[in-house]
Amino acid sequence: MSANEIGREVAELLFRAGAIHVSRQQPFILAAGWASPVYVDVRLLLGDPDLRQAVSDLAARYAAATFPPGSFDAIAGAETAGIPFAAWLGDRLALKLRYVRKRPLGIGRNAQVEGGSVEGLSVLLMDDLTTDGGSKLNFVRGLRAAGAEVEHVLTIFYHDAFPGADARLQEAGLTLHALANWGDVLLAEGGGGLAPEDRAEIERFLADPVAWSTRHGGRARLAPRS
Amino acid sequence: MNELLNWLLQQKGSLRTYVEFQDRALALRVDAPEQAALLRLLTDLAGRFVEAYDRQPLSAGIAAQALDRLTDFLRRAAGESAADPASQLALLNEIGASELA
Repeated sequence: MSANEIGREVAELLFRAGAIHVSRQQPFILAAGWASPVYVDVRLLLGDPDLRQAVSDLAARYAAATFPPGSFDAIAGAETAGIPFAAWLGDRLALKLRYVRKRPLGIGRNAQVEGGSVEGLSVLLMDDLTTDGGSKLNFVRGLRAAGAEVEHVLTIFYHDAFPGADARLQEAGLTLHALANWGDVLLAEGGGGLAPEDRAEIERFLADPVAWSTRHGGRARLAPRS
Repeated sequence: MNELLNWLLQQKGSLRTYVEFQDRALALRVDAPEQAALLRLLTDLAGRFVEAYDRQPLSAGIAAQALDRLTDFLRRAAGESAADPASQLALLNEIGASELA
């Protein structure tokens, strides 16, 4: 099964879960400040046993086709939604499981990584969604500070409309792997369930996301790299 | 406090604004220990908003409302720093009983 086929199937699962939300009246403000007419709630895959098993199987196929055996000692789920996906994939790949908090606890051990030591382990970071990669960098900093070697990030959906995430992650020595992105959503058969007006709005948005964001009160440009 | 307010006035009000606001407000406590309670309450207020909308659809309307609220509290806090203790306490209690959205 090719990466493109996996992407289409994951997109189909997202449609079946009702995870693709379109708002033509009032845009969503994404965590990084971009305005967007679409919001993807990947967590809806968690709630249905068929959907979560299907996406976990697809993630395992992607991992088997992408990473040589023995590439990782452990998989780390990003707080919060990344944790269950990491657990299910970790079971399929027979990897140790850890999870990483958004921030160190601030008290006691001040731990950011839980589930055991990651010192010297090669760790695959998993999360449900990636937009600009900012939160992934934060999770990776926490893992590396605890001694992990992290070079790969796996995400169920990549909101790849906005530029910069790949480059930001590459600068940090990371490769982003996404099971599905907007191209897959528009090509998925389930996308036929989109109202024509919603599809048209998504296409207008994807044609120039930064301009769309600017027109709708969101962020207008990329932040300078630090 | 004015520096924090000026920074906030330049923000768009995405969730990342509130995460950074928390860091800035907590750091400011070191330089302004007399404002520690106020800054802690504002930090908690921003933190609850982040918790509530983390990975939730944040509409532009709610984002604007929340940013207006936090800005208003901060502007009033900056103005109240020389006010009488009763007024300052009233503002603290109001913030303590509020949510951004």
